Amino acid sequence: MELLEVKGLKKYFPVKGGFLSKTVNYVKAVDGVSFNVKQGKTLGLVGESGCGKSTTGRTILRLYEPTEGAIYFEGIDIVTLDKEKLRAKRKDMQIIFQDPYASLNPRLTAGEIIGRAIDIHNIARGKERQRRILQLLDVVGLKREHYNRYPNEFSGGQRQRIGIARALAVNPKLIVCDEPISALDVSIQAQIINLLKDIQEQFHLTYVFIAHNLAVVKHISDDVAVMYLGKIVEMAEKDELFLRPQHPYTAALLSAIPIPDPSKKHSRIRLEGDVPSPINLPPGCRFATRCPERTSICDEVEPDLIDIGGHMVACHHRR
Amino acid sequence: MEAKSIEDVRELATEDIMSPWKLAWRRLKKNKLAMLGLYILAIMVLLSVVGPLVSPYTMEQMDLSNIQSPPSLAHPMGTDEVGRDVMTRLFYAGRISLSVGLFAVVISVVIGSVLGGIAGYYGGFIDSLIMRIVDIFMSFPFLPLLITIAAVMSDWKVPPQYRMFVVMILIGILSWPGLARIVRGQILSLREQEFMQAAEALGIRDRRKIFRHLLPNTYASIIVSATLDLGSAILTESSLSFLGLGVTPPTPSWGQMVQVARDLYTLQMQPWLWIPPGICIFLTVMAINLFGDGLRDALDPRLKR
Repeated sequence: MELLEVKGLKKYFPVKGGFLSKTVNYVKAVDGVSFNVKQGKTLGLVGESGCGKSTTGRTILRLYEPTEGAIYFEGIDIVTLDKEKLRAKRKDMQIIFQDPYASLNPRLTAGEIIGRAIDIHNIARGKERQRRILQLLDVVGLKREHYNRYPNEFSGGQRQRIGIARALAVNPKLIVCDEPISALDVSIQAQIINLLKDIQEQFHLTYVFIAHNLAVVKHISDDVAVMYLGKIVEMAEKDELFLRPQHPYTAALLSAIPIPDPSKKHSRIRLEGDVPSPINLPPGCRFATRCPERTSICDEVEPDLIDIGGHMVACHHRR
Repeated sequence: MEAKSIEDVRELATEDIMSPWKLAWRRLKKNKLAMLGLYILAIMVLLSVVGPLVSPYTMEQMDLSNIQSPPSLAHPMGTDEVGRDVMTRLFYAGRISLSVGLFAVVISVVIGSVLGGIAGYYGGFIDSLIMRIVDIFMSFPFLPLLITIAAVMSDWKVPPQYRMFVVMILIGILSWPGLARIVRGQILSLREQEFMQAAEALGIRDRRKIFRHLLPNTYASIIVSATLDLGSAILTESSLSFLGLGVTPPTPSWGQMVQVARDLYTLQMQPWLWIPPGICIFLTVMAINLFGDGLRDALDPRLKR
């Protein structure tokens, strides 16, 4: 069953300028993205910084108002929901942030951070609330004596655990993980990834996992979508994508994964050229400026994301 | 998730879980200077409240045989030019000065933080509107305005006991803009923090977001600003009394009692008339600042003791 269906999602940020700060242009952060995520599965969303993957994640939750498109969550288009209905729906969709330092209110204790999340949807009160907080601390691998501590007394990994507990507090069905481990030490990253996997199983969660570390995405995802400049250029089942990357961009990304074996020869595809500005996009393929396989059609026609047999790819040369 | 693990969580004792206020109080108690400030304040309040009740004299009672007498057993702080007991007047004056200061600050903090919070949170047109009002209030010439109001009040024959309230409200209304600016600036930057997005993602309501997440993060500046304002409100009240707008005789206030020192003879020869109220003002303002500092530190979990 599809838990989440995103159709033609666009998010443009206005660029203000000139007299009376008129909108002079738009940053097309997300420019027509469509994908589905099945109940209990994980979609990995990868791409370089600035490609719009975080914006996509936040727009799905309507933390940013989408410019265009539809987001079906359990069959209901949440773009059309009014404020009150959306508020109720938010219980089902949560987010874990990249920066564990900025994402916790420094004035609240760990227990209160989780408790406030419980309060917002009136999930539990009094003793029951307390029990639930302690239980959540336990689930994410923190101890009960951490209840009274403030965020500044925790390490990055522990803070991220609090962030996860806060997201879990409202019994969500979907969690958008917005680069949850990229701000952590390498030694902690594995712990958090494994924690995320464990709770996914325990609570039947569905993830949209945003990352730029391909090894991590490979570990946790079922399907992977590769984004470039606000569009998905390739999307496939994880093993298929990693074994047979179709899009030249994906191939370049995969070749950048270090191989932990010094005797193996590393043939890395180096991309030349610059990323075009998301304000002023080229008319043809967005990747054309850097593509090693560029031909004349690439500069003129924008390729659509087409299914070529269990593998979606947006490239004129993979048809 | 309910079904799965609620049974296997061991029964948890809840007595060692503390509310944030309890934690703050515990930290405050460790701060000796802040506690000293709190004690001095408590003593001041106690003397002002209880003092007049136990004193054998009343505020206006004149002892004409004992005019301008230095401290004695019958009058521990002496008497003034019409033979009123200085100590009794000091107690009464405490009531006036403390309540003027307190109410003025409460008014200014409430208006300032609410308007500053709204301006910072909603931004755009509302922000511009509120900040222009702030500009207007800040550009009022304080003293000429008050002198005008004093003249109007004398004209309308406002009874002296109501003048005190006018003073409180005026000081409060004229001192909120500074605080509003500070709060707005902080809310503007806090609003963009990721933990606010997390709260948004949880489906929090605007009101709760402002009052339970954003404003608590500005407590530090509000407290510092409020303690400074409380001191200056007590001082402003004394200058207003001097101008005839504030509390008028025979009702005393600390500031008004100090004013007698403007007469060189009193200054040199009758220190019992102005030293006690002066010390009261000094101690109170200092105590408030010490306590405010301690409270700010106690409420900031980032500072360790």
